[in-house]
Amino acid sequence: MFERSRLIIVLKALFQSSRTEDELDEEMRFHLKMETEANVKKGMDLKAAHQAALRSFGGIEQRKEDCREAWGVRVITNLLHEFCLSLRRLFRRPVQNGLMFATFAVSVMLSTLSWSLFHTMFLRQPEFDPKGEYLVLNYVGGVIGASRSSNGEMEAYKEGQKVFSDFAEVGFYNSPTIQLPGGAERVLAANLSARALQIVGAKPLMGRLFRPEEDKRGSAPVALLSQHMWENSYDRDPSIVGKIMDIGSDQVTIVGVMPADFRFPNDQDLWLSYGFYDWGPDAMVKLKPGVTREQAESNLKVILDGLGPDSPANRRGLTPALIPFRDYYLPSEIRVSALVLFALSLIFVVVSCANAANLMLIDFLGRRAEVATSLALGIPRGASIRNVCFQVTMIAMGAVLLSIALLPVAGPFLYDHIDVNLEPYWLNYHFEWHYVGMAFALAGVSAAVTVSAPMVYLLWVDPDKVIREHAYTSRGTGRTLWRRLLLIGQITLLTVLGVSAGLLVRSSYNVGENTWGYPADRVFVGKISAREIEFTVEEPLGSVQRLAIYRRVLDQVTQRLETEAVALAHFSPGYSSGPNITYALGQEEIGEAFNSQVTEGFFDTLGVPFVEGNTLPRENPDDGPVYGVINESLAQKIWPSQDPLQRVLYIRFSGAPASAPSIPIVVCGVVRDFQVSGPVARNNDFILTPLMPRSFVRPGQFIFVRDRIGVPNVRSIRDAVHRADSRLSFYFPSTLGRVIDIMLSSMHMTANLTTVFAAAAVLLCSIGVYSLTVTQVLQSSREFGIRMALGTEPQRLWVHFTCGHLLTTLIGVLIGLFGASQVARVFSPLLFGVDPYSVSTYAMVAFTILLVATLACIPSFFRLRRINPAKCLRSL
Amino acid sequence: MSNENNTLIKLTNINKVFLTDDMETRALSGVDMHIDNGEFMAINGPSGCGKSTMLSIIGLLDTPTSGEYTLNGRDVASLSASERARIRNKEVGFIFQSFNLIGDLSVYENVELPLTYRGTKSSARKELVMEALEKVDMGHRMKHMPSQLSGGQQQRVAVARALAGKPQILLADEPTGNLDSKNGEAVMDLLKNLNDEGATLCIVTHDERYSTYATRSVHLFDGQLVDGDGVMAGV
Amino acid sequence: MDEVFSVLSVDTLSIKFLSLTNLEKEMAKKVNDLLQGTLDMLALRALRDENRHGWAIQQRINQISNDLLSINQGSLYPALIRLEKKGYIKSDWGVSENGRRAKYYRLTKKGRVQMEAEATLWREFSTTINLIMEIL
Repeated sequence: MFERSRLIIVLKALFQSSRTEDELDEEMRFHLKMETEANVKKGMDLKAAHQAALRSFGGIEQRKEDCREAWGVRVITNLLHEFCLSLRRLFRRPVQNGLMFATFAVSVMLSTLSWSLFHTMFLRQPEFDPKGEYLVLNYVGGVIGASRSSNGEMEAYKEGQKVFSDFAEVGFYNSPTIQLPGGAERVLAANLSARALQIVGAKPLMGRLFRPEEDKRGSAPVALLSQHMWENSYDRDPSIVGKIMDIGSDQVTIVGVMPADFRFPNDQDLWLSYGFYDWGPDAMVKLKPGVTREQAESNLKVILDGLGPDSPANRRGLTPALIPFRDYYLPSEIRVSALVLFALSLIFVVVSCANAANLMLIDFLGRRAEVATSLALGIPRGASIRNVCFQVTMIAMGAVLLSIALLPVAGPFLYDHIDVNLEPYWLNYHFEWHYVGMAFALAGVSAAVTVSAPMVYLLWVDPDKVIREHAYTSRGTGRTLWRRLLLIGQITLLTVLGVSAGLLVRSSYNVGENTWGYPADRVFVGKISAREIEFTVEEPLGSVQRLAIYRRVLDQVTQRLETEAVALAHFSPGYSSGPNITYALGQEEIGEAFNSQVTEGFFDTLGVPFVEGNTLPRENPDDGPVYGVINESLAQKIWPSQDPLQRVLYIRFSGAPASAPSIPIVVCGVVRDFQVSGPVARNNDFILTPLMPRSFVRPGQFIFVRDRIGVPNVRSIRDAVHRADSRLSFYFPSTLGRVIDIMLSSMHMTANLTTVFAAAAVLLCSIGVYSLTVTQVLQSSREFGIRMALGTEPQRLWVHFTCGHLLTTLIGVLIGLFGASQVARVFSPLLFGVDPYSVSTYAMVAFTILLVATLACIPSFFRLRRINPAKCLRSL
Repeated sequence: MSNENNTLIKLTNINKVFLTDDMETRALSGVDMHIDNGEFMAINGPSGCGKSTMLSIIGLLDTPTSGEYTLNGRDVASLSASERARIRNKEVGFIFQSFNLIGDLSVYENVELPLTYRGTKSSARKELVMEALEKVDMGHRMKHMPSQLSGGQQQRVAVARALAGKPQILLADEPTGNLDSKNGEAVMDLLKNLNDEGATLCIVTHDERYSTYATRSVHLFDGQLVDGDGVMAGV
Repeated sequence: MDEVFSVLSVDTLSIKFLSLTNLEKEMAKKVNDLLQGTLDMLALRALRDENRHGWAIQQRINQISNDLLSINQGSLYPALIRLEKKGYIKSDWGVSENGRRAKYYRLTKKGRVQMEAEATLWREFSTTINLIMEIL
């Protein structure tokens, strides 16, 4: 009641200000008239009566002002006026406020982006599953690359399970070659059961979804097209539903087209019915209420054990595992990256707060004379505080608006540079309102921190003291302790950031081409597959037939004029992931290494030189020994200072049953070390054996080609492959360099973004040092003037005072180096080939920061030279 | 003693003691003084004699350690800091030695600033500002920034700022201290004109030349008032 | 806001405090506050029996106080605005006894309660003082 009536009065006065004023005027004039009349009645003449009335009233204007104050209306109009004044003043100090704006904008922008990344990686659930209830049924353990289940197992799980309330079979990834109107094409596809489509909330653009009966093995295969494929390959054919599409030898009926926003699970172009799948499915499952993941896993294990030791999974030593949907798709490295980035961005916000507070304090201390004047003129302390608040708030809000405006550009840009192999469909930039909230919150916190220093000063300081110190004496040198402490804090954080960035960049450089041991960018890599060709089922005859075709491929590619070398292999260095065998000399196993099968040209193609001996033989008779090529360090480890050639060692596959005999390998050559086991592998020992029928020639092979000059042309290689056998499919053409890049993308991204943060922090630091020195020159100009008048040269003065700043910086750097060593310990698992205490990195960062600090002092030199000693003295 | 009703400021037995490093410095001791309406008072004295302290007390920037101070018939010695600020804002106009104009406000805004906090309507404010600027002959420069003005012009703007609120008294602390003699004289002429128009003024200066502009002058020496011949008053 | 009021109170009632010791200054300040409240209370009291315009309130206060307290007349208006803001009184435009347009104030329920409470407080206070004075 009370508040409302007050509000009404205030509003009325605000909007009908003149009317209220008029009323007040009228009321007072009425009063005076009454008083005058009363006086006249007492016997005064009119003029005297009027004057007496005026006297006893005590000044109309004065009273009116008292009334206005009592109204409290002025508070609002004053605020408005102050706000406009602050706004105008903002543009009259473009450098100062521009620097502060830059500080805020950079920090808010980067932090908001990091938050969005963090949110996407850790918090955002797929749209169909906001609570993250769905798990993926998969396997762990066993031989690498064998974590796929078989159809039989999946059926057994579905029938036997008692723990899931929802069970939908899916084949998340498939890449069939299909016949399109424009020719054969290999596309990214997925096999989904009818239930899976229901779970993910699919709605067709035209046609229908899959039916439950189409999940059954042997049912007529059906397909759904992506809108993209329908538009590009079928020219938006309106009668597409019901048409037949050839996939290998199968005829698949197209039953519908999915809209462009349906991309489950990773930007697929084609969805096939689950019945039409033979590769080893997964399942999306949802636990019954009250069932834990562990209980469910043990239930599955019991079912699997019931299938006997000959079931595919048991043979390979696999254990069923339930993995949260998001974890299944996001590799742990990229999640670590997101975490590191987010942590960095928080450090960064602190740095920029310190910087902004520094700028603010400098600005504010520079205005002490103004504050003193204002106080002397009777302007309330609150006005000065409000001025500071308005200023910072407006700058912060400007920065937020800029950041939000840039978000739709910067967001997609950032996400485009996250190059994850088969990234999940929801790993894209998607605007969320809380990004805006985050931007505002960060800016708000920054602004609050920034404002706090001057505010505390204004609230605590005795205004009379300021007046005494400043209104009557001219400016002193000002207090620099606060600013120095701020600067030290800032430089400490900057050093931590810089060292982190340095270590990460060096680490990412270390896994770059220099340590590959071969020119990865020049080596073509692709896959060829003979799955479309029917071979004798009996081994090794099938392998002999496949090898014959592959030999033809090698011959055809060799016949290209440009070809320097060509090879086939079961693996590609970019994709492989660590040791898969143990080796022994006698009975005792010595260590782990990597084994794969390659053709004799493999080392030449990669450009890895031989240290001793020769490459693998082209022909490997079934009764002859198995030859192997090993790397230099391995040779030294096994046979130190002995000739390894023609010696025998025994290998055994890591996942093989204990009863399997170990295989003897005769060393025929030793090559220089190279990164054979994936880009970040630490163990790169290898024993490579020939591609031979005896040890099963797989239907799919990696093909490597290196040309005499430049990068091989994809089309010419495809043609050569098809000349060898037109039934071979050829896909995933790339270069080893590109493959490695993808594998390292998250590491590169972390390093790059950290570098961006570090660069931004260096910018902030130089702004900080610059403003500190320049304002010091400005504030101490009188002192400097006197010194100059006494005969000190400006150069010496500058050197003297720059040394002071460098000392401050040095203290900050030293504390920072210590801090960085602690931080580096935490993220050392992310580092590759870099000592977390690498002296050179630390020294480099320290040097850079000191250099930047020195450079930031330079502008003050010119300011110093502009000081006119005579003028300074005259003003004394 | 002048007419009681006409006395604007009355100081009785004012003492001011500063405590620095456990040492008492007596800046003013037993000062009795009054300023009447319409007077142009000059306080003279060498540096360090307590002139500025005196002006601080008169201008309510500082409080006396003991003694009575009535401004316009009202006891002001016992007021709180914010009450004093309010009175400063309304009834006292300050002119500083170093002008103390606010660098990033235009001439107009500088003069307008103190009025903002008095609840004056913006139209009324504009009138007051223009009137004050015209009085010091700076009306044509109201859009300029202080840095674009000469020292003399800046001081005139400072005078306008002090005038704009129609204060009871104008206090000036060495208003010519940062000016050359030509500009200094111009500013003093301006103050004199204002006095002729009825304004009450009190200036502090160590320059005897400018004391001649005043209608009355007192001398301060070591914190005590002495008459023109350097003899202790009342002795 | 309180500061504003106490500044106003200094010239609300033209009472001069001369030759004050620190203790007396403290007292003076308290008395100022007291008188500040007094003006508000007197205004409420003046409206107890009938609605009045500003000048009439003024006259009534003088009458109640037997002209002992000479109130600076203009100070009444800020006090009225304060009271209106607190919701103790309300104002309406009306026509005065001599036919002029005038703003009339009336006591609200809340104002009446407040007035009674303050009056009781005053009565108790003055009784106490009287008692003390008699004992002394």
